[in-house]
Amino acid sequence: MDQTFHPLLDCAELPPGASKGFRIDGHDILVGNAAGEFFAVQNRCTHQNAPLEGGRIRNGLIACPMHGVMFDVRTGCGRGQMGRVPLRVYALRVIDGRIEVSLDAAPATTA
Amino acid sequence: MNARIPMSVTPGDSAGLPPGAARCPGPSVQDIVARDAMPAPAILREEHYAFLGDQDIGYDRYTSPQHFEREMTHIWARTWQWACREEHIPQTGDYYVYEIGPHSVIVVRTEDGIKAYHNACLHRGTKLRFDEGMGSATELRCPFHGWTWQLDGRLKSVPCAWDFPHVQPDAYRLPEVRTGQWGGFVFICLDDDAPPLESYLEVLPEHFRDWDLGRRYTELHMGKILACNWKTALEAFVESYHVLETHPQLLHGTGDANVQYDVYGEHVTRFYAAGGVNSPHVEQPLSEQELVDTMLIGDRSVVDDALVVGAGETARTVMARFLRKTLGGKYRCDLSQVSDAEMIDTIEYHLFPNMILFPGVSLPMVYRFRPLGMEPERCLFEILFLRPLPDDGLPPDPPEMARVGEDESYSVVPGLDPLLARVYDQDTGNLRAQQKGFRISRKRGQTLGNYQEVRIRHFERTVDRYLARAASGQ
Repeated sequence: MDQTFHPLLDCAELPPGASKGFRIDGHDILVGNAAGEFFAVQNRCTHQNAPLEGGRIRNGLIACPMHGVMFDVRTGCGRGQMGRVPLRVYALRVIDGRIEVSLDAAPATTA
Repeated sequence: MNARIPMSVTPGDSAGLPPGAARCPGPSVQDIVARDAMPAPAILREEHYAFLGDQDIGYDRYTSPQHFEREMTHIWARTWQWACREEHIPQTGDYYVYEIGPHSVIVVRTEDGIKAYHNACLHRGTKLRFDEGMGSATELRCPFHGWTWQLDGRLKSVPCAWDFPHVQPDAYRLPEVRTGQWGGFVFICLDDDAPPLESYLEVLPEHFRDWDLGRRYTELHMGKILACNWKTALEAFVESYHVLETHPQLLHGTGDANVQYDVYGEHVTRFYAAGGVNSPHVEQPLSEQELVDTMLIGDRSVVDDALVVGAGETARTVMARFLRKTLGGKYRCDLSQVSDAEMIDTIEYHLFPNMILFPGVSLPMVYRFRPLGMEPERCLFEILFLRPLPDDGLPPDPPEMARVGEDESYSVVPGLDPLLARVYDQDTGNLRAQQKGFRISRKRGQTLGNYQEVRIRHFERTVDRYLARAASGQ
């Protein structure tokens, strides 16, 4: 099944450490740059629903600006007692310097 | 040469020497270092041993809840301890939560420098940050009701402020914990009346004048829970006497029994083990080339075939030269002026109560031993690798602590040399059995070697002094 990707912004608009929130079809999505690697996760902390936009990104983790809960931006896994529920992670691709995100479940990969 | 000193070969025989005067036969560390091509700094050319007695060290110090509680009150709540590295909190809002016993401290970078606070909300006591380790925030907001403090400790907001007319913001600043910085480490002290960090460090700043650990970064951080008292664990790492039995694979290329032990003041001790030499225990000494071939532990990732001992060279010279080049390349820094000793030797300092530091380049560890919560017979043992900062560009972000399960091998840690993992497995493998043995034994204390285990005696003497001061009301 083909995934539908939504073009969101240019790579150049998102320097390392930056993140930006989008709303697509009712999904709050955060697109960010972790040391040169782009990621897309749900823009709602699973702890107490705060938006993650603007949270400090380092070492592959984003910290929620409200209570500091940290999540791995690749896997969505949280850290510590406040991070027991993982973030949803969205498929992301870069086409011609433009970041695109899909709301579809990632297709099963074949070895 | 220590060979000039008459030596006893059976326990109980002093060979006519005063206690503490006997040394392992063969060349001393000072003899070995004196022959180096690139001479060691003066601080490594001195000896500072003192005989501190030979009475047994009671086992109850490691098992008794009462002793543990006295340590918690009179040592952990009174001494300077390193909480994190500066690279853990490089930007305003970055924080590190450090926990010791019942205490929890948030160390935070503010616009006015580093501050630390007791990690509890002034509303109803909830921990502002639940877990130990790194984090980032623009303010400190309690997850329970949302009381919020600025990074500088000032109360910023209280939800439904109309209900708290009795809360005057000035009286609700977050209570601070003292901080200090040295060598890229951030220290905290829970006692407002304790002497300052500068005097607490005793000889360390002088010894480390040319070993600026502030010019290092954390490459690796791992932690393992050990089923023993924190002192049991620490004491396994301040003597080399155990190498012969526990790490037989290290005997080739390590001067284990002729390690030098030094004690300074109340808070600092060190040992100094020469690498690239034959162990005094080895009956058939290796050639200089064979010694080079055995010295690869700790840096196998950078080894190639350029390790040939030329005419008139020693294994130490060749290995140091090789590591200067390869580690300098790997970490993008100039090591050309680093002495042979600093490149390859195992130089280990202990700062009371729980910090172990290695200023050398190829084995660049820092250890930290802490009780786990309020449990006398469990502790957390952390190992960090501090690599030289690159001359250009930025180092990577500091890693999270990799956890090694109580029954797991250190080989699960990504990036850790498998041979070094084996050494740590061997080291930690004895500790549960030793802790259990404290309770089994009919003999009521540890018997220590006068020389090789003097750092343990010095450490326990300092423990006693802190507890005695408490008893005398000082």
